[in-house]
Amino acid sequence: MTSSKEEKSASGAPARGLSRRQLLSGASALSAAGWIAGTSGGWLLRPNWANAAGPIKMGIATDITGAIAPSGNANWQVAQFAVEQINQAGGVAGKPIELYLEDTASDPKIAVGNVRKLIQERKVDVVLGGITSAMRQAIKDPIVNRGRTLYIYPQLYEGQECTKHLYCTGPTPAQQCDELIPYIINKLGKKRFALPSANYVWPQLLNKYARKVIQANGGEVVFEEYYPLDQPEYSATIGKIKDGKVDCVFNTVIPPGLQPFVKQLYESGFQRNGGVLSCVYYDENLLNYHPAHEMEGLYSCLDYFQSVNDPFSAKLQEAYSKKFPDTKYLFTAGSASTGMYRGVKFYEAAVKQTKGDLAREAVSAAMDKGKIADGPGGGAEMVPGKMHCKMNMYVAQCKVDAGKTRYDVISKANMVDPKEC
Amino acid sequence: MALLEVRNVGKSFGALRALDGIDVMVEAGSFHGLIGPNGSGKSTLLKAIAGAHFPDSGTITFNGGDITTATPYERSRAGLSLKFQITAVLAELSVYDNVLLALQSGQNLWSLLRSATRRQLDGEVMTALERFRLADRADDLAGELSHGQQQWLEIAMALAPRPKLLLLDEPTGGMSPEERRVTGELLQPIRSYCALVIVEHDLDFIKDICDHLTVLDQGKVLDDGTVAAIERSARVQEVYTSRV
Amino acid sequence: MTAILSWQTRRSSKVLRILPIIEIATLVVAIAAPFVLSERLDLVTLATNVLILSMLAISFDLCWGLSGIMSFGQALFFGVAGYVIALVGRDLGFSHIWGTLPLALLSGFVLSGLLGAFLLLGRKTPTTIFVALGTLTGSYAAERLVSGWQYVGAGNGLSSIKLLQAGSYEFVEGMAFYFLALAVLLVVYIAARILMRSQLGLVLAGMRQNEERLAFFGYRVQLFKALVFSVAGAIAGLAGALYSYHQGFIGPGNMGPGLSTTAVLYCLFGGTGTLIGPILGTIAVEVITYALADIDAIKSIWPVVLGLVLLAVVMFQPKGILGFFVSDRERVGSYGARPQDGA
Repeated sequence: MTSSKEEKSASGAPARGLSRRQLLSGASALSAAGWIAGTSGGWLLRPNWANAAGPIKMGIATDITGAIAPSGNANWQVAQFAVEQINQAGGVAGKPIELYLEDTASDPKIAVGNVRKLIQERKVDVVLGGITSAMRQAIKDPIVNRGRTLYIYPQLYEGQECTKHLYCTGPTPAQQCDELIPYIINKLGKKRFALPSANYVWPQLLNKYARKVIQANGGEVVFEEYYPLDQPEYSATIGKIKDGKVDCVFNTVIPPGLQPFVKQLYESGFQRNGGVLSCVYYDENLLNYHPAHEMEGLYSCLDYFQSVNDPFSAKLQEAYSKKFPDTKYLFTAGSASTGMYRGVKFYEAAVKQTKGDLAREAVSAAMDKGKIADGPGGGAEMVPGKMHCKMNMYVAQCKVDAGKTRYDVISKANMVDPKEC
Repeated sequence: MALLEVRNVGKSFGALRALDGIDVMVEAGSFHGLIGPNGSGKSTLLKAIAGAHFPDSGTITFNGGDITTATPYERSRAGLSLKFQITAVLAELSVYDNVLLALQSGQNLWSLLRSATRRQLDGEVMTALERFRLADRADDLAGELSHGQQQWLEIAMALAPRPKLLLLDEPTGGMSPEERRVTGELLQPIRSYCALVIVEHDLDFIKDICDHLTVLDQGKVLDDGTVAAIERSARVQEVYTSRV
Repeated sequence: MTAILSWQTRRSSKVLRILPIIEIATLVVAIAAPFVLSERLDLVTLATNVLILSMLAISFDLCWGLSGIMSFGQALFFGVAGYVIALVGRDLGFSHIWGTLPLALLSGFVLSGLLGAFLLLGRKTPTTIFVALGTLTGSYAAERLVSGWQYVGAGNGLSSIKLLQAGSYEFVEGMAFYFLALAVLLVVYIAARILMRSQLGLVLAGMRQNEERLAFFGYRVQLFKALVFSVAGAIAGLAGALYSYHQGFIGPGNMGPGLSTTAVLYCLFGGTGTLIGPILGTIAVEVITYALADIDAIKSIWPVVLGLVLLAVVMFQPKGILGFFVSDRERVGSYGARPQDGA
């Protein structure tokens, strides 16, 4: 599953018939490939010049296994990718970055124990990771409060996380709604919104903000409803969409309930009759969950799409594909990968500022005013005192060409304010 | 009024009429034997008195109170004690603690938790053990005693709370003749404060220690009287000679 | 007079007693451990966890080892108290030690008292199997209930639990929490030890061996059982609260049959009915689990290995680890202070 194992076999180390001790003592082959087995389950990526004094220890706590594993593995790959680039360019303030991975296993109970290992055993200087809000809630306490360590959370989320020393590098509701909704109302002329949603915290808080924006722009919310995450049947919802003359479905239903919902919506002829489906967490990865025709015309709003016209982003994608050829874990926005890249770069920038001082207070102070010139979709900039960052946001629409989906970027908004805290 | 009054007690197990209109009176201080052939109902009667099962009909009065359906706890509080047929010493406790356990049953929880009566009861425990020739085994586990010694320990435990009536079910079962003789000796001194009801196969033993006998046959009282009277009883002779 | 003389001869012939030596050795190791481990915060955390789980093990030992109540539900009281203090911290902003630890004791006591009254105080004497299934069901039902209840975090449990406070001091993982846990464990241990070796402990030991016999002595057996069950529940509750504060997390799994069974394992592994045995069992199981859980090859089959170990212990060494060192006679011990000890 993890790339670590791929690396192991790639380096030619015999996988079987070796005791743990032998594996450790015979680790030179692995370290040549950049890999060393950690002493406690997690994996450690150590640069070849790690013996230089005082490496920076960076912990990644993400869902390598369990329900969120596809996103978690993408995060881990992006973290390796970003750190490798930094180390190849000479590290940060003369220090290499060592990466430590602990699996949060999509389960808060396992996560709190494993995150503790990063803090207490590895004594990392910073932790990046967590994808769901439940995970962030579970691990932020052992990291920030008890662990006295800096924490960077990379995923787009519902906002309202205002914990000191916890920096959010993914888009907030304001960033996702402030461009998309006015575009739908003013440019597409759709005013009657339906907000079908999965029943948990992210849709609830996102909808609360979306409703404000819809009403401020002269639109109207016909209904806002919450369903169990795995509901398979939506004919009542589809009926309401028809009866209420809804012309925009602002969807926050998530898989596994999403597939039947989108299918039934498509079959009802909603899109054919001029209705607009929008889904603000949809990236390139998620399009593959559906037949292409059901996705055609879908609007999304994210901090990055692969079709964004930006030379730096294009180079980034190319290098990522080179490091992980044929990987199924894409470098996209919806899986928190862009937030992860940004997080690593923000941390790099902050440590450059402190000239290598890794103390939390110092790095955090530098993070607070952090700026990165480049990244997927462009640069980003922390809003001082707010622990969230301004970033470019893109509205895009899904197009289908010969059965293949892609996003066409429709508009770009520069340095959108997160409006948090 | 007798100490124990069993009136018209009946008990059936399915079609089997185990007890059928039994009347027995036990006077205070008397040693009362229940005898009869196998299946005559003597053990069933003893169990009904002990409360191991309840009779279907009739009443059992003890010391003036109705105990027909009383719980073991209530019987014990009323002054009834019991020695089981199969030895039920607590094998994984020391001999000493077995007796202590029997002696301290009147204490309340708080007193037990503080071990308040431990010192005070020590003498009584040792006296009881002395009386039944177990003092030198006090610290051994009860399970390590010989069969006969376990029977004595049981009797010592049954007597420990100073009951008014002790029920003994086969007290000499599995004992050597010498042990039986000693058992008889050991029981004599309690006559001053405690009555006995004994179920026993060994008629010689019964004759030696009892002063009153009730003979059961097929769930009914065949005869009742002093040992001398029963020895002369034609009905009893007939049953015992024809069946045994 | 002769009685007293013979008594003293018996006393003087006593062999060396092993249990107190093991107890004192364990205490010495427990006091020294965090100083030896001070460089490894993760191991101090592990050690603190072991101390807290030891209380859960003692709680089970009071039930089974002491009184013959086969409880597969000790985690229920552990988990509920853990949730209670987490909620008190979240909704009332209160986490002072003088209030929350007694609250945890009380939660465990009341809940186990209710369950005990239901299971043990019926008209008929309950069988071991009935009690085992009843407690197991309670534990399972609670886990399912909490998994679906949004107010208590449903399946995600409660995290970011307010830190335990003493005055303005806040306990985070580390030395201070370790010694707090050790102090609480010591108090629990001494209390359990007094209970076990009192005249009341003698009643419980007798009850464990032959409940019916005890009833004929005139003991209200079921009442005693319900009482011990409640005390054990209170101890489990105390452990649950400390666990909650220490981990900063409490989830449905912390009150389910899984943890309940683990408590059984600690005891059987270490040696039931000895109090110190369950602590040694907890140390052994937790340390081995910690050491092996990171080896991927063993990780997935570890629960199976644990199960087999338990099976082997039950079949071949029912007295647990302690059975290798301590004679049967010493395990049984005696009850109440020896009269001549004070003389």
